[in-house]
Amino acid sequence: MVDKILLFLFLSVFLTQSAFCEGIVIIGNLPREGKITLEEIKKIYLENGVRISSGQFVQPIDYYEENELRDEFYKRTFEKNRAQLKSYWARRIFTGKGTPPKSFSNTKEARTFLKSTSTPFIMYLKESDLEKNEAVILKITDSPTQ
Amino acid sequence: MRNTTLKTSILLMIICGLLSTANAAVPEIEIRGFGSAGFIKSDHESFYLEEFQTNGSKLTFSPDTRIGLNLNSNFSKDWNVTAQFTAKGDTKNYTTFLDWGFVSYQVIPEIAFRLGKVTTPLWLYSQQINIGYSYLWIRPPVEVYSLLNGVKSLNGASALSSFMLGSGVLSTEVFVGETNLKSEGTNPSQKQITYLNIKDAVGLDVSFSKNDNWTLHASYARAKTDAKIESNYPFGSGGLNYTSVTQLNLGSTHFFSAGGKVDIKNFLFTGEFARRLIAGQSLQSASAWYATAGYRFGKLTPYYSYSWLGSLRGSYYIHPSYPTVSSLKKEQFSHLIGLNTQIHDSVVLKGEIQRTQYEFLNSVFDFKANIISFCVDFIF
Repeated sequence: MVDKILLFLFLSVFLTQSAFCEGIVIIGNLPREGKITLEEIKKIYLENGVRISSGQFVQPIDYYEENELRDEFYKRTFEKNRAQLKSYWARRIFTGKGTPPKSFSNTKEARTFLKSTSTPFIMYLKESDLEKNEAVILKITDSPTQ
Repeated sequence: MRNTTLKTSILLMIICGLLSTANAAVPEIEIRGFGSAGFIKSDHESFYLEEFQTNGSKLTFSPDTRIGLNLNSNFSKDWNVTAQFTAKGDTKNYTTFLDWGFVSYQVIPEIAFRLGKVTTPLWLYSQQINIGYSYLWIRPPVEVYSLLNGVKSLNGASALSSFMLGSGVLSTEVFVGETNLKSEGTNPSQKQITYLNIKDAVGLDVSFSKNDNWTLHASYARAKTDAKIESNYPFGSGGLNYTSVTQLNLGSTHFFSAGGKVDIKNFLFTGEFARRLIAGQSLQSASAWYATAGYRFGKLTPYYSYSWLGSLRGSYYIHPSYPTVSSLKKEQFSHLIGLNTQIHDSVVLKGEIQRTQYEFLNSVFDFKANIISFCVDFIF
């Protein structure tokens, strides 16, 4: 009986952990050279675009809600879950201070948009979805950062 | 009033003009909404919720129940039109009003100008006071937010900027404009309507935030204010009514507030100090502050809040049951505990128990009220 309880507890803890454990990388179409720091990535996503230290105004590409990759990106980068993120954007939208980033259903659609525009954008994707010719701007580790 | 109508017409003409010169394709309109359904009950007949103009011990749904729509359209790369409507209850019925609505021009990504009915960021939560989903409590602390007297927007213009500064983002907003407000008293024995005419308003809001983990905010605004108070009450025993009209030139009104909020590692803190100063009308000058702390346990966030309202020589609020000078309010403070439960990504259930103490110039009128509130807030 005790064994079954321990097994149940182990499975409960294990199954509630995110099944997503691979790396997330940031790519972009930035015309000018220069690094983007994690702090800048955070501001680009929360402000829906900021001017980074290299002088470029960079905008984010995001995914629609209920996307596992999106949930994991915001969890790792901001320690925010879907509801907290929704609350953040509710504050921005309903006070007239901003709208959420341009969003797509999946990486393929997001990448197609990125390749089609000359305006500086960045997007995130699973490391395993990276194409050979794509340069990684930053890799988001699985440890949350504040 | 005629002046306001003229300005509204001019604004509509500008919007129509801009729309006609924009791309021939019909611009896409984004529609989002929000709402709250709540009830409140007090154990004291004289309990009074100033911001919401409601009082009495009976169960009421009106103060925290509302629904709203937000419409946003980018009709060119730099031009945007946005408007927000809310339907909300008052003491008698539901009214629909334009929260704000403006044309916005983005000069560069960091700087924008707005023209129309623009929001007034006087307090930390004043722009989102109708969006219950976006804050922790059922309603922002009444002791502080009642100082606004319902001023949430102005017919005018504003300039906004937002720049990265060190590890955060510095945002500023300068606004100018005017507005007219009407409020009805809740004393059952005396009908009183107050008309406020706020003109030549100018203000500045500065805030600094880091990744939504913490935000610091300060704002200052001043305006010239006229008030007209129409009172109607029974006179003698013959069923006669006596009507009086009082015209007040309140002179310059100054608003100041400073505050901040922190959301780190599931700890939530927020606090604000606010002051309203009316030159030559010390009875209507007041200060207020609150402090709130909470901790997020997954989807549950219990919180405690203390808020205080006081002033140099009293406040405009008179005891509803004893409307005399000696019943002018001197101080008001509340202890509040609440629980915020995220029952869905877009829906929050909240419950609060509040104990409010009202103190008057003559302590004979002092009383305490226990208030219980429940509310469901949602966005769509």
